Amino acid sequence: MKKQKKAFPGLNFENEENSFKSIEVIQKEFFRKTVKTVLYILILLAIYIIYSLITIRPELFENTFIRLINHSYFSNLTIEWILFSTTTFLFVYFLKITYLKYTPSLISFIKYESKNLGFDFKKEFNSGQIFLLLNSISISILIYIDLGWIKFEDTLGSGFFIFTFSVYLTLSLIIPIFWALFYDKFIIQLKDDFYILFNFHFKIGKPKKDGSNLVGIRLTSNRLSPKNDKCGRIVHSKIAKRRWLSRRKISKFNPYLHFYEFSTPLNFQKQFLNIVLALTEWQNYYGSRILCFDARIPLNKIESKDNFLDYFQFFSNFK
Amino acid sequence: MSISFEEFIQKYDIDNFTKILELKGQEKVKFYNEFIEIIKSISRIFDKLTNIASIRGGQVLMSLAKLEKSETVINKTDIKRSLNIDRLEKLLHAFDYLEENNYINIEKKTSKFHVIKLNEKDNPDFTLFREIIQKFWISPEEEEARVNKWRDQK
Repeated sequence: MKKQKKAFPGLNFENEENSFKSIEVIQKEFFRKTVKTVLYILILLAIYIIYSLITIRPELFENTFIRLINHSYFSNLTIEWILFSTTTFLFVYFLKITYLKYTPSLISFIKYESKNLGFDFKKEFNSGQIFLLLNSISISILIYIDLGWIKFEDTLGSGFFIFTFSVYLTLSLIIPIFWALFYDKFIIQLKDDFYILFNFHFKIGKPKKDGSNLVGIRLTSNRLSPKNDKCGRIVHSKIAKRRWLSRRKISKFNPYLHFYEFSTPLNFQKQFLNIVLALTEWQNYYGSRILCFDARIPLNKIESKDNFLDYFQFFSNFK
Repeated sequence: MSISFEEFIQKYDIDNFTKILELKGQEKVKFYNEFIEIIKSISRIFDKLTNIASIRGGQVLMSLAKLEKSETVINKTDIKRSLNIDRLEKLLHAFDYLEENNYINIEKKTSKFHVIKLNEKDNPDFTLFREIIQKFWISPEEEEARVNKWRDQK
């Protein structure tokens, strides 16, 4: 009999009592998810440590069944690389999963809410596929080397191959790790160049009746323009101020402008539409550069009303 | 552009009842546009206040705007008192939400003493909001004082 998948209880934030229960559900799910991932990390570490010991100090396993297995099985390049790359990648991947605050019921809630608005909420975690793709090539070549079908001689061609393959091996591990850290995301694709990224936010500790148990969703738009683009800064500032968008600096080192919005599950639809409409305005006004004819004037002087087109007046003409 | 109700009144001498308000041509268009801006700003304030996803978030904003008229340093307890709330814990969710949304700035002087300010710099509509609240809104603390005063009258 097919095992029935456990249904996650629906979240409800419509009143204080239900909000409290929903937060409890989220926190329990998050706790379960964290325990699971930490367990996976520990298993990975254990496998890697045992493997290292088998290859470095085989005498430690004299009285175990491992002694019965031919030592050459462990010490070939393919096995070594598979173990090293997989454990390293999965270690980073699971750390990222632990760091991300999301739970199945919260994801279902957002999926449902965005579907109501006609948008498709997606979990785009592609690092695993990239890792498999890049590593399958590495592993194939390593198998050829282990079987002796590729042999190295003291020639320039061999040296070049070893160098190129070493670079490829390094990249086949670094690229998926980099992807897992920066590009695995929750996203709603609005149009070809426009999307919204999601970041969930809640306290991990046990919910208190009287304390603040804010469950938040940070929404971040795609890159708008470089920060040093004065026209971009003017349009961004005008739209963000008019729409009461959050102007918290997520990172000082990010050289690009983004729109930010903060919502809770209760006002998700409203806040989501607010940031999407900000993007539509961005496309209209940055594209037409209608607000930017004075962008060459230093920014500190641009605040004076006479120096640029009145934004509100401009908008009112089009409403 | 942040629109100020006070500036608008002064600019056209609206509160001067000895002078006739006469607007012609471009001046009338400008007056109309500015008036519409005030209404639009008020509409946005309504929209945002009703969508603050915290039961007491809107009330905290109003209380803060009101207190800024009389106090230079406002802390969480001042707001609690102004709203007649028995425990500060009931407002923590609202403070978190407003801070996350950058509607208020919280400066943590000590672990317990937090100075709160309305973030008018990033939210220009707050200028008009503050003016309206300071002029017309009566806080629960003031309401209670009025009621008690009336009860004490013989």
